[in-house]
Amino acid sequence: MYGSTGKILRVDLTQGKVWDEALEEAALRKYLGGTGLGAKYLFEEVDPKLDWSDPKNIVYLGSGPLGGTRIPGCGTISFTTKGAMTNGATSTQANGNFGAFLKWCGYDGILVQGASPSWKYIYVHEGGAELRDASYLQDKDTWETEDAIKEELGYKERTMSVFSIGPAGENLVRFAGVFGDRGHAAAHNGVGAVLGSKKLKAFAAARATNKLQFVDADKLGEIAKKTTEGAKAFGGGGVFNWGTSRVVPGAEAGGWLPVKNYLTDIFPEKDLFDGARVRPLFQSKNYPCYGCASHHYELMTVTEGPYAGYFGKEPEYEQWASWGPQIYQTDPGAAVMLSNECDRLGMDTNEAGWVVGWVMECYEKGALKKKDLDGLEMTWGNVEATRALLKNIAHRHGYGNNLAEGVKRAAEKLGGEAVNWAIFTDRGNTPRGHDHRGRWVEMLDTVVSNTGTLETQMLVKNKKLWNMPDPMDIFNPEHVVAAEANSKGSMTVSDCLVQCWFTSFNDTETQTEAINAATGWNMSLEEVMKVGRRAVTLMRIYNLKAGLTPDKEKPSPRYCSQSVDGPNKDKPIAPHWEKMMDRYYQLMGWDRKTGMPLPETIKELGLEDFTK
Amino acid sequence: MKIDGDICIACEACLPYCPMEAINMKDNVAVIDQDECVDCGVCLKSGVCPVDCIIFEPAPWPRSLRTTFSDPRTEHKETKIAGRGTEEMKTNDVTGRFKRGWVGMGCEFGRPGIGTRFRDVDKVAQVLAKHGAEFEPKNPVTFLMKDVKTGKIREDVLNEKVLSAIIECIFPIEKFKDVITALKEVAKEVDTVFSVECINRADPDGSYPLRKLLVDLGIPHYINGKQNVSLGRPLAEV
Amino acid sequence: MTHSLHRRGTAESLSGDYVILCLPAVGINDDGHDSKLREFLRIALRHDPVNMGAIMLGNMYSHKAQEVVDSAHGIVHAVFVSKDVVSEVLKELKEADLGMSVVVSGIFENVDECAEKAGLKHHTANFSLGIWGKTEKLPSNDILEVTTMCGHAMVSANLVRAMVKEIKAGRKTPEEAAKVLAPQCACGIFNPTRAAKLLAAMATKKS
Repeated sequence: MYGSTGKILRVDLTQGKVWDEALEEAALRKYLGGTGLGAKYLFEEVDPKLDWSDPKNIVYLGSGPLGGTRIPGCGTISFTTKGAMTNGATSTQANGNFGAFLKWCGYDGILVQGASPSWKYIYVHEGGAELRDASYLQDKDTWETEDAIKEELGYKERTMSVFSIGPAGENLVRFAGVFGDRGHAAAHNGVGAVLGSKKLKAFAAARATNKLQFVDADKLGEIAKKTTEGAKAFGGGGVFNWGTSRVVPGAEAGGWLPVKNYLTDIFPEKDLFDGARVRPLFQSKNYPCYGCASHHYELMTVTEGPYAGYFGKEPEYEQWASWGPQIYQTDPGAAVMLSNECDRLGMDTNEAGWVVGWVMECYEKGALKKKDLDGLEMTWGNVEATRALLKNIAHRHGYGNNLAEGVKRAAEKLGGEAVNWAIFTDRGNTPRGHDHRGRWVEMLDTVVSNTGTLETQMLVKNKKLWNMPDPMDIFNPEHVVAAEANSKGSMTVSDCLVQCWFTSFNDTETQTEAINAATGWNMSLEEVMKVGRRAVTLMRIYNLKAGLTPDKEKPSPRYCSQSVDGPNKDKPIAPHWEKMMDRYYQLMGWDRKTGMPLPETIKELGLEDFTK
Repeated sequence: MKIDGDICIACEACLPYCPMEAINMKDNVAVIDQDECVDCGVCLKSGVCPVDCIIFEPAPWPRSLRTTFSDPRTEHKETKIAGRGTEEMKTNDVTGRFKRGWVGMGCEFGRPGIGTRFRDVDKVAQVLAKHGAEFEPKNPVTFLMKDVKTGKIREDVLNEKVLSAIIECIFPIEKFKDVITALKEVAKEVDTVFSVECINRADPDGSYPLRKLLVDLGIPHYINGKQNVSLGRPLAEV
Repeated sequence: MTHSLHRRGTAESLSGDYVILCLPAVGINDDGHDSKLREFLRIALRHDPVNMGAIMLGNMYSHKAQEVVDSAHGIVHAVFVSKDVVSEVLKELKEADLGMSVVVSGIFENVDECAEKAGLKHHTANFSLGIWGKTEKLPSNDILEVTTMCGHAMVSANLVRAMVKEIKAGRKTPEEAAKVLAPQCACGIFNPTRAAKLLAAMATKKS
């Protein structure tokens, strides 16, 4: 087979066995890999009624047909599982090198089932794969684990990719994630907790000799160059040169920066968090993923303030958001420290931000007191208290045990008015690091998404191809629904390939060229678009069977509240909500009451087998 | 120069930096063509590689020549001078190397930006010698000559490639016409380019006899050039 | 060495391009020359050079200007864009009487004017007779006008082409593009101000 290695690695942790399993070309054409193939495995092998922590749950780490090419962004790896926050389908990706290295070792993916009686990690290399003892790695944070495994196995920096869970995953914190290659994260919907329940600490893939066969390697080389050019051009090269480090000021101006748990939309200190200021100030060095020439990802050392000397990775926008404005603190050095501590402990930065912000609001309003919080003074902006709280959560210590359940469950347990202060959806997943009262498309997406995290938003190169409104009025309900519904599947195609969104910019046309140059399948653009839709729909059907019914597609009162200040205070989303949901179902071709895709939708996507 | 293929992330950022176009992608890593590479170090010193996987491994003779000629930061062992040539006319106010009535000439092979192998340098050096040119003893190319009377360069370096190499010589101004004519002929047989420079001491009235000769012979020269402004001390009596 | 010779360009372009070198004669007056070369660079720095270099370290785009001054040894360079400034620098050098050889690279008539204003006489000239041999191997002339500003060929033609592309795409200004090229020239005789103009002209040409 071209493009694909023709096999995945099966790992049965209960039996302590690993073996190769062949892939069928027909399945690959329908699902490509990554999320698509993962959704198929999830559907076929995990009863939707099971609890996420049941040993019968699986975790599928997948690359796809482009993994191992030098097209920028194809070192990304996708994780699919039944996740701990929603107890439904999960699709979450991490960038870095794992996808490329795994393909070079000879595998399209790794499918983990069962649970190990003792702590293990998986080591994949040119000769095959094995389960290794991970007891010495217990309670090590995710960066320490990376170092320890590389040292144990004798690999120098950049010749091995390691993704691991931290103490949070080990302690089944619901929003624990998987972190690797110096802080890249697959953190949504508690994939880390699932791995913790299986006593699987880490995945390590050695960089191996590239023996992959492609139909047209020269064409792939051209596409690699074209992708770099496209990435340099997209949005004036903003992401190519700065990653997401410069987003905070613009977000505040647009009223979509999350400030003080949505209590306000004003954050005067926003410019302190601008990457153009921080990068030169904190000694930064570019640390790109395999195949990528961009300056998105940097490692840095804080140079001023109480955390001077702290070394870690540059926070993504999501992390600046959580550890700056959301907890209402203004020292970027402290935000670097908290972002990295959260990564090291192995927790999703978005959820952790909503949790801590809610705790701070409870503290201010007297709903939680110092004695409730194990002596921590959780005033707004208290950095050291936050640091200590994160540790308590990761170890389920004291009140940290309540908070480890995520903000929705923690708020419901506390009860009273405090539930109305928390930001969540009724299904259990929470938004990314923005104030979605200024970002309606994403509020809708968060509520209806089938992946436990972001499924679709407007980051699409060819808006016309995906029938998106252009020009787009982001506060026009009709535009919002059309953008969300019509482009459904656009980002999922990237998650099936598996390719980073910030190099591809979800350019489906170039991706189709690339798939065909790699595999020779001669897929049409329409077929490729369908692969994305198919994966989304499959996860929807699965989630419905798992009990994630339409009645749970609701934002919490605080999440869909009306902003009290800022540019969007006169634009409440609540009055439009019901109509938007109705219209969304209509455009998606799904039954409004049951949530189920209509028969013609299922037929169009060839998913009849999954609804028998 | 070499790229560590175990670390290279195929980002292609280094490719345009190489003056010899010696870096190309092969099997998803960047590879440096060892024959075309002149060990100038531009790729490494640019700092462009995000994973620091460009390495310089000092090579044995004769390949070691490449870096001493191509990386101007390395000093030639023989002359203790960094760069490709000698002080030449730059210190003529103090050294008096170029007297009135003489012309200094330099042929810099491979310049600008094409690179050269020593076999072309050898070809032209022999022609210059035949027409009475005396080679500058302290020049690194002169050091490579088997016989400075004939200009023949030693066999073992003829195939080595460098960013550029300069023959420096001197002859009485009367021989200029012959030398230039012979140079024009042999230029047709050379597989690279070479930049030609001529040096002349000004007469007491400030005029340059060589400039007049160039006009008479119809040989154009650039409107810009270098001039020493007599600030060196002690002044040589030339 | 003749690294500041053979700089290609039109009269107009070259009228903004002057390189001054300063060096001892080895074996004659090189004892303790480092301090004299440092003084040269200090004098040059007072007149806002567009580049400065000390070859073992680098230039003012790869390092800080003071670091360049501190590492002066062997030979040092400074680049200027105006003949009036060159006259001023030469005047100061005459007064300073460092005893080191000074060479000025530029359009002959202009350099002579500067020398005269400073009360100096030219001593020896170095003429460029251009490029001979297999000239069909050369890149286009507009690329050469940029690359020949580094006499050691450290500024690659492909890098110049890549920078023109960046300017055309609006991702870099000509000045930013010139600053990507400048650090590669170890001696610091590359003229980024002139390079920016040349790159801008190349970017506006129809390709």
